[in-house]
Amino acid sequence: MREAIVTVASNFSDENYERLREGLLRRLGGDIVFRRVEDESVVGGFILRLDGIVCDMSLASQLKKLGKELADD
Amino acid sequence: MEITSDMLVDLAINIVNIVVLFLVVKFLVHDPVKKFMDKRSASVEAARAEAEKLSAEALENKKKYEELAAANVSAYEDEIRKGEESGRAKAAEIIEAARREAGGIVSDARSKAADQRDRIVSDAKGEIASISVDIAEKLLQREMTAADNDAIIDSFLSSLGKADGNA
Repeated sequence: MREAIVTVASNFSDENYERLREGLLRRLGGDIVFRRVEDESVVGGFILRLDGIVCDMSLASQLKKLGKELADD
Repeated sequence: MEITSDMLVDLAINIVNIVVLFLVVKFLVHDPVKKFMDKRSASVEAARAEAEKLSAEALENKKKYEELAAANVSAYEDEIRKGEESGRAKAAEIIEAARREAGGIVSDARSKAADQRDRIVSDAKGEIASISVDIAEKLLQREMTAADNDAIIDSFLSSLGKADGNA
């Protein structure tokens, strides 16, 4: 079995989590176990860790990029 | 008038007297006086010659001293001129060195001021960006809705589908 760790903020609802889980199972296959981790620094969206790959879809990373662009501009 | 023997005798006596007087005057007065005068004349002449010799030596010495003084003055003038030239050259060298050093200091100060300005601007930008991001983070944490998260999920799943399709 493969383990997928989903890190989210508290504003990520159970419906959001289920929607993401089902979508991933549909696309990547059914042999995945999901684990939800809450971290407020994610702000919004989620961070998915699966098979050593990290998909950062969090608002925190977007804000970090925005801050860097503002500082470098 | 008849010349008598007495007269002849008187004449002879007078002649003898005159001769004797002449001899007496010559040996007792004339010769010593002449000798004294000759000696004095020789002494005066020697003194005059000595004076002329000393005068000539004095003139010669005066000439030598004047030449020496002129040479010394010329030498001093040369030394003074050389000293002035050397002083001017040294002053120009010092001024040039000071100008170069001042230019370096000014350039360095400008460079440091520019660096400091850039650093301050960069720090200010970083600070503003950081504050902006903090504010945005706070707002988003509060305002983020399930619908917003759904949009992110859909976008992610859609990109996965495209990736699968491409593969």
